[in-house]
Amino acid sequence: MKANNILKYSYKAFFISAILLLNSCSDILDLNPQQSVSDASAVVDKKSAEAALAGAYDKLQATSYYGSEFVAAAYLAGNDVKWSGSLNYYRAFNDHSYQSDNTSVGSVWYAIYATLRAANQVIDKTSALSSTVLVVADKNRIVGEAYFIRALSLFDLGRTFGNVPIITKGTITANDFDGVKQSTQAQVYAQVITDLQTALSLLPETVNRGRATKNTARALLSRVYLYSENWEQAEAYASLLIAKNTDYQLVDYPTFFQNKLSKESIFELQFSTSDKNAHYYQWLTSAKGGRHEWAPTEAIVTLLNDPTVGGTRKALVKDESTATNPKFYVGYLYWRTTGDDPAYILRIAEQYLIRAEARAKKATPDLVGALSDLNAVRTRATVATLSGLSQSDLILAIEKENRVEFAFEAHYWFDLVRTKRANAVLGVTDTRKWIFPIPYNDLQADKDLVQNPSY
Amino acid sequence: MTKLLLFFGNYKKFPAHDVRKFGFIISFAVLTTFSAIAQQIEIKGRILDENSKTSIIGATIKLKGQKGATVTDANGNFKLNVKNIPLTLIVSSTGYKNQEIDVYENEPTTIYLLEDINLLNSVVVTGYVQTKKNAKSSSITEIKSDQLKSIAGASFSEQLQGQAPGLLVSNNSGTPGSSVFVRLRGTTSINAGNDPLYVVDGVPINGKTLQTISIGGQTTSPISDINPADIESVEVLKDANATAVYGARGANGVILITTKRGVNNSKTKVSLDAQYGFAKAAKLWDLASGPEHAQILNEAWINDGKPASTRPYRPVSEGGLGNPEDQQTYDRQSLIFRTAATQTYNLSVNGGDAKTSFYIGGGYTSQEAIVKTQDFKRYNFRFNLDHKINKQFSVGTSNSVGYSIRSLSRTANSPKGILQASVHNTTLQPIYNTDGSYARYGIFDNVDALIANNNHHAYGLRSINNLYGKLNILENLSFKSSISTDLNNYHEKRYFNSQLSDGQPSGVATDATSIDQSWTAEQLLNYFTTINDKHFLSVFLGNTVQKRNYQQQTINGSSFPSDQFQTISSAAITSATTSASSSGLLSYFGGTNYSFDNKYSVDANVRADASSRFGKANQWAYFPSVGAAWRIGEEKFIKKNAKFINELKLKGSIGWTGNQDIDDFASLGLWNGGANYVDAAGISNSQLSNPDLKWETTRQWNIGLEASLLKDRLSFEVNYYNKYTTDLLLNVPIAGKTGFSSTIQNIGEMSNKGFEFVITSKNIKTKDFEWGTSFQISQNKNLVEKLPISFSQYSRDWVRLQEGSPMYSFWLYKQLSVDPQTGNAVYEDVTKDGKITTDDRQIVGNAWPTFTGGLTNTARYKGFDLSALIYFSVGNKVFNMNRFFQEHGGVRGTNWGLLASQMRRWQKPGDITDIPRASTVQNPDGSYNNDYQSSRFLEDGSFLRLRNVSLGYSIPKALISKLGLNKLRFYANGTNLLTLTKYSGADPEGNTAADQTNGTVQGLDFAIPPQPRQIIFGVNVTF
Repeated sequence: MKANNILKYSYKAFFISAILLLNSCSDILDLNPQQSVSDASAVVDKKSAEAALAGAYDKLQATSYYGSEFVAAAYLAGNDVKWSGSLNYYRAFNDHSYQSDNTSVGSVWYAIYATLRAANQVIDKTSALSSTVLVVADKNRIVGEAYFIRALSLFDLGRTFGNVPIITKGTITANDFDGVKQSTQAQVYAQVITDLQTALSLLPETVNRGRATKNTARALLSRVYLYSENWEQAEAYASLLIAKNTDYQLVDYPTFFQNKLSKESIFELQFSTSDKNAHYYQWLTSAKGGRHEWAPTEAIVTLLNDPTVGGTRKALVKDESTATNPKFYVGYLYWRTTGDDPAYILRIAEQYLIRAEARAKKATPDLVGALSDLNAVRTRATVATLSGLSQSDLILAIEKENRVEFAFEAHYWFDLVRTKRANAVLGVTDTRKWIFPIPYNDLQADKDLVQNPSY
Repeated sequence: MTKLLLFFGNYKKFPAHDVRKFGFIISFAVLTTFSAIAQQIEIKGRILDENSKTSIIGATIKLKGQKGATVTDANGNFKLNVKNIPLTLIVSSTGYKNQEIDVYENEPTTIYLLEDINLLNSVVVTGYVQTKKNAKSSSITEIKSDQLKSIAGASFSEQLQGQAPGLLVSNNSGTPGSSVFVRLRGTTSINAGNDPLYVVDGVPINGKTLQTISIGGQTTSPISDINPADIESVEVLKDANATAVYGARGANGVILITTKRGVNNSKTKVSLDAQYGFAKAAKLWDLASGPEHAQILNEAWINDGKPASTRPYRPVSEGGLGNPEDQQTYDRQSLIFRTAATQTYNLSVNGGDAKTSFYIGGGYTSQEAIVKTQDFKRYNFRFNLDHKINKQFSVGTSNSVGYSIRSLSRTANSPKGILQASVHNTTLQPIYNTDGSYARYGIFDNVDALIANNNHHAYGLRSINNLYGKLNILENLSFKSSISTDLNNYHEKRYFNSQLSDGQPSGVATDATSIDQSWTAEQLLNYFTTINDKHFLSVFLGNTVQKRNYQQQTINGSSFPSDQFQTISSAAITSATTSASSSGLLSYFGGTNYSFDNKYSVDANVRADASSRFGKANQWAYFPSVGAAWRIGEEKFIKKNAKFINELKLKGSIGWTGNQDIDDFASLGLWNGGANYVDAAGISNSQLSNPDLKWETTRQWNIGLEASLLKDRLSFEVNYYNKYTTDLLLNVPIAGKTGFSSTIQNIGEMSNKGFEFVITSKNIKTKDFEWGTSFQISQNKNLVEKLPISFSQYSRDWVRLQEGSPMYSFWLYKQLSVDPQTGNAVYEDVTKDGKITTDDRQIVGNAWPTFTGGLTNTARYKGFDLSALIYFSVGNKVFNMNRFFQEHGGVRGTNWGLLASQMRRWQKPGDITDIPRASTVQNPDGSYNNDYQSSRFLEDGSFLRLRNVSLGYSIPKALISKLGLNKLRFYANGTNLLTLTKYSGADPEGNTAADQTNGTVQGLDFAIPPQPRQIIFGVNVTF
């Protein structure tokens, strides 16, 4: 073969290869994600609607929401749990010095709005499905559950931050809600009640402690009515649940939190060893795999260990002091080193105490009924029953009961704020600190937001 | 791709003898056979360089008009058997003019060859571009391997510190094989990638870590997969004219790495290098003692207004824990730090005959970290080969395989990690409980438990391969086609047994595998011509197709039967996650370069890129550049009047480059799986769509002056550049009510401006003594020019992005003083409302150095060689997070230890200090004295470091040639021998946030092992 032949062959081969290469590679720009689907094709049938709904529950589980941070903000602000770890922004809840750049305040805010968004997307996308791909019963249930999640998110936003924008549509673009300003807390609660009524009309009449059902909606309604000081409605809805005494019962301490989905629970968010509740990590000591970011105060430990106050609820805390490490207490509501502790959102004990308070405070107080509800909760903890209390003493006793019954849940702080007792009990003189600041970073990003006073 | 391979398969069909027949250069092997048959007279001689009088190795000696040829040996000698005399020898060697010598007598001759200036001066190739050597208008720094090899380090990127002006290199930690912060002429982007593009022998390689298991903010470096010993040279492409041909990936500069190759017609050379050395921390932390800690807690107690009678450290008889002075001090620091051993062996063989040249390299390095439990081992193999099939056609390949084994442990921002367990625990509390079990406090694990039970390894397998065929269609027209792959497999295994806090209750294991594969096909057509010796023109046209696939799997296991069982197959609880992604980039590029009379030159390049990462409408983008150079030194008026000037060149360029380094499907509105609730599979809207998403574009202009004076004894170069980036690919915060905190949009603008100066002098140059000095300094001013929303990076909002401030700015409460009367910190009340609130936070400083530079001295006296590199960084601020946590003034009680600096606190009225009194409560103005985002922890991180000193001695050739050796050198290298800094921490370069995507956080020092002082002894043998 002559040199020029080689040349010719090489030449051709090169150019052919080059040209073919170019042609065959135009599809290199047409890649599709392997682990995601587009927004348009996300919810198209029952299966995908159920998946989107699970996604909304997943948002409730977020570390910054019921997965610990939101709950912690409340019990730290209630001052019965003190910051003992490394993240000093938790200290701000203890001494109510939170400012708008508080990391935890910001992450709670974003986590709840993400939950609200997920619920809205389920409502929008599932409602749009035809009955040929999703039968009405399923559609109602799915949309109903989403309405409940939306209501819970809005309620938590309202009681935490006071004045917040109400969003009732799923997000499509970044600018969808430009111009939506904050509503007042009362407006937010009104929206929550509307959503819960809608949920109530759509949800099935079943018992499912890990998901929203009619009973779940009723339980939250009674709480929202309590917060709205609508005593009659609060009592009425609480009564509905208390009446279902085969499904919902006061379960002994520590049985109720040693097990999962006990009859105590109306709604508990479930976690698993692969989908953990971050709470255990914050509570447990380093020796048990945690970081002991916070600990029960001496005061609450004393109360819980007092047989006339805490009773069997003393199981919630342990004294692990050593010679060089005195007054070292650990909380054990979230005790599983495997991280699968539930998040308790609605318990039957709360319904008793809601009804007790509603009965004591309503226009024509029912002090006997109130006392009996209170004593039900006390009896369950093997604490002696109370009797012969005046209306004001009874109301005070209910407040104290709330404190020990829900020591490590998101209650006491909100109760004291709602009853305007945060100054009297906790010494938070500046009432403007009774609601948290709007996060500084969102104020920068959202021109419709106005900061709460004093921040 | 398949078509290409088909072609390479095709050529084998040509019969071998045909190919050989047309080879113009005849191999040495063939020649010796010839001479063995017909020898009569032996002629001898030596070939030397006319100027340097040094021997020329591998020069070809041919007989004119008859068969017979040979090449010179390592000493420039040749022998040739001929039939009769007289005859004519034709002597040739690359880079020299051919010479014909008539031989009349049979006696040894010495032949001097003249450098072929024309050839050396003619064409150089940088990346894709061919230019006349001195006519480049681009700003490029070339670094030879000699400059790098004596600096200890697992990867070449850390060796680049102080070597190239405009290149900022900062070592994030002292752990070998960990990531290095590299920025070329500033940072052009916020959320898109900011690392330069690394191209090894034409292969664009992955420079991003594949690590998925967090080790506290530190990352391992994929660049350390490459053996620095294989590197021949590094070229740093800085201005737009040099980088525009890399288009969409060029905005952050390009670092071209050329590995060693064989030389045609050279004797096979074997080189062995062996090193052994030690490393030790030069500085650690000065911690408060147990009694001091107790004293602070008592003080805080009293300062907080609590009764002195109940202070925690009061006599036991009073119910306390004993007086402060009765407390013990427990040292944990000395437990984890060690004198670390390091060893490295490299063996290489290279050589070549007329047609084939090769380089084979093998290396092994084993480097212990100064922190126990960490080490780095790497095995490397390299094979480079070039073969000329005939005059027109050549093929070649570059291959490297590296296997790295790391033992890792958590440092930095990891409370359960070894460094915090050691340095951040209090010195007040014992390491063991009274029953002998491991004691743990606060958020920390036990230091001894961590040392004894560490089991975290990473195994990296990296293969970078390139195969090319090159066709010289005409003498000056070539076509090169290549296919390259970069395969990167990273396997991490971590097991926390039940002795560890994170192994509770019965063992927790993670096994993660990441696979990153990319391939690149490239076609390049190159042409140059010279017309009438005056006009030089070169043109190139090219195309590349690149595809990247990424896959990741993580398996988690917990609840093991016992600590002996460590594989996840024995875990009772298992779970797994996977992820996968891909991207494609299609590019066309071309350029031309013209120079006239070797004086004036202009060039222009353009690249068109299409990326799969962008919205359909915006996939294509075009990146042009132009440059010009004027060699003033060639002008007559200079030549005549200023003879001391050898070179004086003015150059300038402007161009546009892009950045596409974002998530693969960032423009799409996507729902992801994995958002599960109990057993129900869940999906979640993970990102909003942005069909308008497009390239980030950086415009850069550069103007520079190069000069060489006094017979090239003194040369300098100065460059000024100005970069402006628009359409920043930014994760913009959006209204939280949307349920998203941010989306990626093209918003914002940023600038980088700076100058670079380098001066090199050959101070002394005699036969026995040489001394050279090189000094370089550069400055970069980064500024966020436009940003509609300011927002934070990293936790606690330490680092803020804000219009009008540079990146890496710290957002803090500015501490003005400590009130001598009250002992409270006084912060600047920006809003003047009498209260310290978030609105009073301000940008106080940033992590950018004002200047960085290096001073290199090299000297040689007879067989001795000495070199030293001093690196300096001026004006960079470091936020000392260790102080933030460890000057807590009692806030953190016994949960966190104290630095000795805490003892400088205010104690009584009249005290003048920068550290406020110990107290845990809020000040009247709403601020806190301690544990607050105070500027008091922001320190000047300027430093000057004796980065490297290297002393070597080469045994005289006369002594070793008898042993058959060519070179025998003994040496000692010292790295980081001395650091001068005011910074109070252990290392001003440390950065805890190395894992922040795209390095948006710099200058946060938190529990980082410092870079050690290191001394290495080595020997290098060549034969």
